[in-house]
Order: sequence, then structure tokens, then C-alpha cells
Amino acid sequence: MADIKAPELTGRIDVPAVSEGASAEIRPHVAGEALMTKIGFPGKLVDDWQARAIEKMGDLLSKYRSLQVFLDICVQCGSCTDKCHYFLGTGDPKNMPVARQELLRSVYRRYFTPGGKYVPGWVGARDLTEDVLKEWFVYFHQCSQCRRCSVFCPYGIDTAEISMAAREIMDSIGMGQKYSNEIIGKVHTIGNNLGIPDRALADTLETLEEEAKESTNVDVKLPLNVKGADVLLVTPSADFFSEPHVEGLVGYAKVFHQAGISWTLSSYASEAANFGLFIGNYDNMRKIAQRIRQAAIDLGVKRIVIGECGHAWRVAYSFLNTLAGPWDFLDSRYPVPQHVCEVTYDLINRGALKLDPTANDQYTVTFHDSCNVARASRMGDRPGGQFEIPRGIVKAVANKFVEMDPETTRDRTFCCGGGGGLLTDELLDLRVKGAMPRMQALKRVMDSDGVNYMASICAICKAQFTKIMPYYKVPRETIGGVHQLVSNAIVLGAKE
Amino acid sequence: MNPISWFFVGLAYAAGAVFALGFGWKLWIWLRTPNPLIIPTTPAPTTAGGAAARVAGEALFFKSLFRGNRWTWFFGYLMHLSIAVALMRHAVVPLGVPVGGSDLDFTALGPALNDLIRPIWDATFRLGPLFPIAVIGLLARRAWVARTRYISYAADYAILLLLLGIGGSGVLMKYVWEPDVDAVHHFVFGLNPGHPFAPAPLGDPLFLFHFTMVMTLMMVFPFSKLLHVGGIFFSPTRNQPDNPREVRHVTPWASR
Repeated sequence: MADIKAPELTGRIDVPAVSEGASAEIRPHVAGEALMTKIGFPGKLVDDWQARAIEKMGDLLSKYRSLQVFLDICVQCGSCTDKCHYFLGTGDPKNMPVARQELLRSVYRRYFTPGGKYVPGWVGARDLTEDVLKEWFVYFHQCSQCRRCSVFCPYGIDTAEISMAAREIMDSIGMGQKYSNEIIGKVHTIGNNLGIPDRALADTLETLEEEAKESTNVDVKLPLNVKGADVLLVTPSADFFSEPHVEGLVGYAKVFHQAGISWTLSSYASEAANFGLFIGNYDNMRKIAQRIRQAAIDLGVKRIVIGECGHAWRVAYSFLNTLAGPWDFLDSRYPVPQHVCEVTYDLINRGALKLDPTANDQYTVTFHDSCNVARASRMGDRPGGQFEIPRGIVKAVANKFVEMDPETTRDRTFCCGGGGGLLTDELLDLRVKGAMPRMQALKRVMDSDGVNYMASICAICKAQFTKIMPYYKVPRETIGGVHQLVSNAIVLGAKE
Repeated sequence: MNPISWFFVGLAYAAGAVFALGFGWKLWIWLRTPNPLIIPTTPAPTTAGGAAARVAGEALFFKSLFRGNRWTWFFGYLMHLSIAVALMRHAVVPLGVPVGGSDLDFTALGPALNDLIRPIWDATFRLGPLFPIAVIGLLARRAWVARTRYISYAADYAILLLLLGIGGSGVLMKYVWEPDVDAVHHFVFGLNPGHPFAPAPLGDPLFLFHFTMVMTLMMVFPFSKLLHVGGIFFSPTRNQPDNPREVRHVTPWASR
């Protein structure tokens, strides 16, 4: 493990003292020329970057009401200042949401408002200098776009919108983030974030089928590119290779098997994640989303179901209709798209699945609401279904369920610390510290109730916790998926 | 009319124009700027009516701020409530009280409504001192808490001081140095288009201070964070219904 010190686990979430510059040295790698040009950006910082950045800001201001309104109306009331997990973890005041917004807002004022033009010192307006640009690159990559600040803002100002705009401006002048941009490039050419080619994907699925057969003695299939299947399952590619993600994929397969639903994966759209969201680039986000439409058409499916992934569900639920619709060629009896949890929950309620929750008796389970599911999407018909449905599944497949502190769940949930395109090794220090609030809340129920399994429905949460839990001396196996529990509890075989 | 009176008349018209044009211009910018994506902070209402109710809850009760910080909510709510009451009490002239008359008459509404409204309306008359107290509370918090001190600019303090000047002078005029109310009414009424201008009450420096501060606030409004007064109704995270699967949302620039 790298030489990173995790905050002490006390079970309490304390607001730290302001510590200027505490995380100023944590920054991601800059994307190289090939990665940048591949997804439509200048290869390196352009000569007239300052003028181009201001021009881009003006362009975005005219395209996004959110950005224009949010930059205009903040009253610096301070309600958000103690809400960001990165501020709570680092104490760096520039990680207070309002201060993070100010990095962009100060430049907006300088170039777009009379106050900033004539009395910059009074209103906190700054020239866009090289130092400011460097600060942007650091602190707009210390935001996981989790929207927690927005919940507590009297005007709903969403720092995610601001950091997306800032990243878009930086990309447009040739200063992009390597991790996200590399992944976006891979999706465009190969179809998934991990860059898994068709053949390797097919092999993996075959191996998983063999393993499922060995452990259950049932022919659970993981079909790929099957034309005429009813359901196209689009899932984060981490589900194909990473632990514990892959256990969840087997869980989905068992649900479809047992419910008798014909389904398929697609090698062309072998990725639910859409990092176009993270960099705030509409064109890339749409291009990635269009792959799902293309796969649905090519395979002639009737429904689209999305696997366990937080931001993917945001893009799918909130944006897919806009980005890649209309979906009039699909079966109109089902929402487009559906979350795999909606499918499973519905089947459970209809009694279509036989479950044995004692199979999970070694676990005392809690549920970690993933930020994008909690605050940027819905499941089911009613607001808040995104909280009830996954919990409903967990309670149906496990006997021991415990909630964490309500200050840290549902729409007040804390980000895992790795979302928003920050799940990269060079940001590990930040990721460990940013996980602090969630880890404290988890620690409390571990001590009080013996919780040893934190269920999540997000590929990034799963990868992040697997990586950072050991720094807190919590076993990495503590994190798992909801469908991993389903996989354990589902009783396969002929229906009664 | 002496030149000083003309100065205050000019100030009022300038402030009115800057406020109306500046705020109108900003409203127009917000209106014309599209929302390419559906981004309500969820859980969110699924209907337009529900979303409107959500925005009303923010505008009338500051619900999100209440969840975020109780002290800021308390002082902030008190301040806004005081301003609302003060605006209503100042509006008695346009609401139909004759110049020189003292208060609204509710008897025309019938005895039942009159008995209900009268005591509430009279009680608001005693709330004036809460305004400067609330502003002082907000100032103290801004300066005291390290996090809010860090995010505060001169402009943030200046606006609170402006409000303190307005509220403080208002309270002083009511309880300590009462101006010539008749002269003030004539002057203010004379500012309405179609009425003959009346001289400014130059013998009441406290009133002139109060008046000047208010005009300054109006001129600062369109160029400052005071824009939140209108912006709260434009925030897409609060005013959009959560219905993206049911309704396809398309914006011209984004559907090329």
C-alpha cells in the first residue's frame, strides 16, 4: 500500500478546521496529445488559451441555464461549506463547495459582469491567469460531482454543474484529465471503459457460465450479441472482470434465468458507464449513449436494462431519452431504460423468484446509497423509489439489515470518494480522505450492530471501497453488490 | 423645489431605471438560456405542479437551507420576513391609504376577516427592530465562523451593512426621531409619474439617509448576489419535474 494515512475511525464525522492548501498538491495526470485529439480536443494547451477559455465560458453560459443561474445567484450563505466529503476529509477550504464554485465564478465575474469589470477587488473577481488555471485543474478534479452540496443549497446550486463546465473549458483549451479522457477514447473504439475486445468478453462470459454451472448445477447463461432477445442488459464493464462486481453480474444472470426472461449483452454497447458526463462534454456523452441505441436496434431487443452503476444510471435514467431517444421501437409496457433493481424487485413482489435469505446469514448488511442514484435519478413510480427498491431487495435476500446514520443515507448520502472521474491511482490520497464520512458512519454500525457487508449498486463505489477500506483497516470484502446478495439467496430450478 | 430636492428625485428615477432595466435584462438572459438536460436534485416531484410547490417551499420557507444550517436559516428567515413585512407596511400608500392617513382599513372585508387580519397587521407594526437584529446575526456569523469568513468578500459585508443602515435608520425613525410624516408622504407620492413633484423633506436627515441607502440597494441589485430573489425561480435542480423517462426533453442546440 502506498504511503497514505487514513483519518482515524472514531465513528464521528467532525467538521475540520480550515487548513489552506491542505490538498493543493493532489492533482490528476494531464492527458497526452493522442488521448486529447482522439476525443475532439486540442492535443496540448493552445497558445491563446486564455482568450479561448473565456470564449468557451461564454459559449457554455449561453447553452446551460444551470451554469448561468448558478454563477449569478450564490449568496455565500455557507450552508454547503461543511457538506462536501472532500472538505470533511482534507480540511482544504477550496474543497468547500462554494469556494470550489468561486474558482470559476470569480473569473465569470471578471469577464462577464459589470462589477467584476470595474471593481474586481470588491466583488472577488479574478483574471484568468496561469495560477488560476492550475488551481482549476487541481480543485475541479477534487469534486466527485455527487450533488450533496446541492441538497442543502437554498437555491439548489449544484457544484457538479460547475465542475463539469470547468472541465469542459479546460478540455477545450487542451488541458484534459488523462484518466477520464483515456476511458472515453476506449469506449468510442472498443465499446467499454476497460478496453475489453469482443473475443475476450465472450471468453469471460463463457468462463462465468462454467463457474455458475459448477456451483449451482444449473445452466445459467450469460448471452452475448443474441439477436431477438427481449432484454438488452447494459452494465458497467467492471462487472465483467472486477471483484466484487462480477458476483453481481452472475446475480443478474440468475434473476433472468429464473424469471425466464430472454436477455443478452452487447459487445458494441458493453459499457453502461458514460464518462462524457464527468468531463461535461455533451458530444462525447451523446456519442457514448448512442451506442446503446445502436445495439438495441441491431439486436432487435424490446427492453433495455441497466446494471448496478451510479452515474450510468443517472445518464440512463435522466438523459438517455434526450441523448438517444425516442424509444418508440421498444416495448412500451416497460420504462426505458429500467434498472436491474427495478426488474428484480418487481419479480420478487410478484413471487416470481424463490429466495432463501438464510444463504446470507453470515452477513449483517447495511446499504450505501450511491450519490448519482440517490440525488440524480429515480427507480419505480414514486420519488424516493431509488432508496426503497434496493433496500427492498436487500431485505428480501438477507435476514439482518441495519441502516447507517440517517444523516449519511438517502439524499444525504456521502460519496464513496471515488466518483466523478477520480477513480485513479494518482488521486488515491484524496480518495482515502474523501471516503472518511462514509467510513465513519460504517464504522459506527460495524461496532454497534456487527455490520460486515455494505451493499452498493455502483461499480465505482465497489472499486473505490475495495481499494480504500484496507487503509482504514476494514476488510475489503465488506463492500459488495446488491445482486451479489441476490445471487447467494436465489434458489434456482424448476418453479413450484 | 431646490436643487437638493431635484437630486433626490433624480436619484429615485435613476435607481428605479437601473433596477428595472438591470433586473429585466438578467431575467431575459435566464429565460432565453436553455436547459439541455433534466437535472432536478432527487427525490423530486414528478409533475410540473409538484415542482412548482417545491420551488414555493424554497421561496417561502427556505426548506433546503433549513436542512443545511439552522442558524443561518433562523437569521436569514427572520431577515427576509422583516423585509417582507417592512415592504408591506411601506406599501400602505399605494394600497389606498390617503396621504396623511395612517393605516389600512380592513373593515370593508367584513367583521370576521377584519377581526382576523387586524391584530396580525397591528402586531407586524412592532416587528421592526427584528430586522437590524437579524442582519447583525448574519454579520456576526459571517465574520465569526472560519468557513464563512473564508468565503466572504467586501461586497458580502457591504450588502449586509447596507441592509443594517436601512433597517437601523428605519427603526430609529419609528421609535426615536420621527420625521415629518406628512412631508415624507408628499415627497414619496410625488415620485409617482403623473403626480407633481414635491420637495424632499430636507429637515429629516435620517429619512434622507434611509432613502439614499434604499436607492443604493436598488442600483446594486442587478449586479450583485441580490439576484437570488429572481434566480431561485430559475434553478433547474429545483424547478424541473422528475419525468425524463416519461417525457422526452429536447433542446434545439443539443439535438443537432
